[in-house]
Order: sequence, then C-alpha cells, then structure tokens
Amino acid sequence: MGKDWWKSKTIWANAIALISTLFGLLGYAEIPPDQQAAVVAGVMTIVNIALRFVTSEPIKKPGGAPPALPALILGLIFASSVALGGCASRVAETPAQKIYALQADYAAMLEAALAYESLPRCVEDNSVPSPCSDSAIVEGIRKADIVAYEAIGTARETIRASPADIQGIDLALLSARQAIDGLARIIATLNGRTG
Amino acid sequence: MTAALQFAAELIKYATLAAEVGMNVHELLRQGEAAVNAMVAEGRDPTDAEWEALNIRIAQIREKLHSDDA
Repeated sequence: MGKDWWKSKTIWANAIALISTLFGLLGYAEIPPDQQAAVVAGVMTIVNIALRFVTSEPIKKPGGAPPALPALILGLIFASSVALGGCASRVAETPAQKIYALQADYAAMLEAALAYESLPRCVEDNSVPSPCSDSAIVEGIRKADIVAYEAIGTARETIRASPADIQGIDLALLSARQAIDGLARIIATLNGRTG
Repeated sequence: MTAALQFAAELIKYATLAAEVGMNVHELLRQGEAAVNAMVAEGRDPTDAEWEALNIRIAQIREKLHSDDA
C-alpha cells in the first residue's frame, strides 16, 4: 500500500510552485528581487516545517484533514510579511521618520495577523480540511502584538522626550524592530495543527 | 481520487485567500514606503494628519485582533 497522498513532498512542492505562480500573476512580480529571495525563503522554511510535522506525527484518524494545510496558509501570510525587513524603515532618515516607518511596517504586519485571526478556530476532529486558525497561535500573536505595540510606544516616547539622545533612540528603535520581528516569527513558527 | 480533488479545491481556496492577504500587506508596505520616501524627499517629518491616520488604522486593526468576535 502506498503512502498517503498528502505526505508526498512532490505534491507539496508542486503546490507551492503553483501558488508562487499565482502570487506572481497577482502582482508579486513587482516585489524587488532582493525581497523576492526573502519571500521564497520564508515559504520554503514553512513548507519544510510543515513537511517535518507531516512525516513525524502519527496519523490518528484515517481520513482526517491534511495537517499541513493551515501551516501552508500561515506560510503564505508570513511570506508576505517577510518583506517587512526592508520597506518604509529602510528609507527613513530622521528619528521621526524612522518611528513612523516602523509603525507603517507594523500596521502592514497587523493586517496579516488579523487575516489569520479572523479565520474560524480549528477543531480537532474536523474531517474536511478548511481554513482555520489555531487558538494557541492566535494567543501567541496577541501577546507578541502587545510587546510590539509597547516597544513602539517606548521608542516614540524616547524620541519625543530625548531628541538629542541618538544612542538611546537607536536602541529604542532597534527594540521596536525586534519586537515586530518577534510577531512575524510567531506567525511563522507556531503551526502544524490539524485544520 | 475524491480526496485529491477535495484537496485541490481547498488548496485553491487557500491560495486565493493567501494571495488577497499578501496583496493587501504588500500594498500597505508600498504605501508606507512611498509616504516615507516623500518625507525624505521633502526634508520633513510626518505631519499630525499622517500620524493620526496611521494611529487610527493601527487602533482599528488591534481592536479587531484582540477581540474574540468572529
């Protein structure tokens, strides 16, 4: 008896290739080449994580949902967020521009997080794969968002209160950047639940 | 075969949803970059109106993100 079709790396690899093509057709061709590499890397990282889950976790229910499907959508959402590393923040020069740019990137990141949170919560015994969000991941996203929001607030306050403290401002901006990246990592790594 | 077809249908649904989200996020990133580029080109910091618009958007998203209303 052959292995389950959804355990096939070939199928997943081709599915990702198809989705990547769709992304291109829907406007992603406009992403700068250096960011495209990051997007591809993000997708492949999540796919590998998902495949690892599929190949190491015993299947408890014949006919159950392919576990990697929610991970796939997470990966795609994350991939769209990978580009955060270099967008508005990359071109800003003054402290005020930098914190504004950071908040603009953060707002885009929140959109991706909200899209995931808005999905119905996953249920363990779902026999049909469907888009859903894992409660634990949603909680992780919310906690990471609070950390990011507070870090941004601290950076903004540092700029207002101590405009001459360049070192302090840079440190606060770096902390905020790292907090936002932490939010992205939550979306990327807490996956692999049955949808 | 039925399972494979079902999977294909679900995959297309996921791809569509993910593409929509990706496009929205990408567009927001571009808007942010364009706004900051304009500030840099004009040699100015964000205006109160720009701050207000961004803060309102963030507040609206966070309110939904931290709400359990489906």
